[in-house]
Amino acid sequence: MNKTAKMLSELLDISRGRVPEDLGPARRVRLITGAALSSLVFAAVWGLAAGSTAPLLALGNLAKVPMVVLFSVLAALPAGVLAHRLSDSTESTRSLLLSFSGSVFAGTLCAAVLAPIVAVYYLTSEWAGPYLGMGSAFVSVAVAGVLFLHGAFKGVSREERRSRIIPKLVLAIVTLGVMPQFIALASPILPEHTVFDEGVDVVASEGAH
Amino acid sequence: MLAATLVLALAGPIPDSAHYVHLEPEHVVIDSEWSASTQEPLATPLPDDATMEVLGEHTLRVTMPRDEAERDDVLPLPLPPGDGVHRVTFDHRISFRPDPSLELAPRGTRAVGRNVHRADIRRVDMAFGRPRKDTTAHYVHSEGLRGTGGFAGSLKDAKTRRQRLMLFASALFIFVVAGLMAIARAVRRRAEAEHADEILAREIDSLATR
Repeated sequence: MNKTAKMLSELLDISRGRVPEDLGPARRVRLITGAALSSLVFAAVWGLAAGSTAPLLALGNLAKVPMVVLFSVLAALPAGVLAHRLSDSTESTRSLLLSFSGSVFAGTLCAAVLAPIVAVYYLTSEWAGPYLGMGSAFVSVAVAGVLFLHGAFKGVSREERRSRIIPKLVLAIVTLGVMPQFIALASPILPEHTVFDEGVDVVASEGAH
Repeated sequence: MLAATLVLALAGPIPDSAHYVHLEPEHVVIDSEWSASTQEPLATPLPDDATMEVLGEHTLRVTMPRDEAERDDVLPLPLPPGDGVHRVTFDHRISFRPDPSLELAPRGTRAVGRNVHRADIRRVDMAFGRPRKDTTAHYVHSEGLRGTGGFAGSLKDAKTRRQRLMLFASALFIFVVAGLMAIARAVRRRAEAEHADEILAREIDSLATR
């Protein structure tokens, strides 16, 4: 197995909450950066599929979708790390970041895996394409979220669970909170107008009507 | 109190107004409602390229070219004559930045100008209905608008402002990705050495236990 395949396999294990016990600090950092860079590639693949009906949109999505993912994650990090420091967790900050990047990796991988289906439906169906485009994005976010939070419950005591779940919840909530704004900034991502194109303003106004 | 009410009743309603500014593909449209009759003359003249339609006894609409509205530093509001308080709200597709000279102070989802008091806000909201909660409602006294002939500030399509931000975000993105790649490269050798050490330590342990 070559190095890249080995790293991807390790990242998949980490996203399932199986962090190797003998991981040294340098390997953790390497896995975090590897997860981040792979996530950007996977997000670009999904972006290409989502914009497949318009070449310019697809080309733009190659950068826009990874940008949305990267900035949403980066924006959540300070709050997550602070919550981690304030909680009484025995988990190291690097481990938290590793499990966060591992779940983002799994979520974007899920989007990349669904990308061919998204592209096929976008190219062949007026009706199903948009649903599948949005749906695959929601599924990916849900996969990342579930895996990330699930990691807090794996092989730890009840007290430790409580202190691990708080920073994870903060990270997940802040990431989901800022994501619509970055989507609005990068819009259009999908060929049709969606509720996320104008960010939280439209979501709020939909609620106000 | 009774005397004050009587004076107010004799003088007619305070000339307040509410304006909702929204975008059409080529135009900026201002839907206005006055507490006074729209038969009254405007307090300030509108620009030549703006058209005004009287829609009812208290409602009127001003339409002006979008590029003109974006270029000018003043949004020409159709104001009733006299001293009153004027509420201005914008569609979420508009990004409006009021001129700092108006000294609008934020109060929750409201931005309130000089000489506008709580009672004024209540009166305006009672007369025209509460503003939508998803948009900032600006309350300005006539004296703050009369000098400039309208609501001073910069109006832009929110998308245009976002596009500028996107350029900055793109540069930042490239910078961050380059940083991540540099870290990955820098840490690769150390990680490999660490991994080799771990394997070696395991081998030595297993030999020792034999």
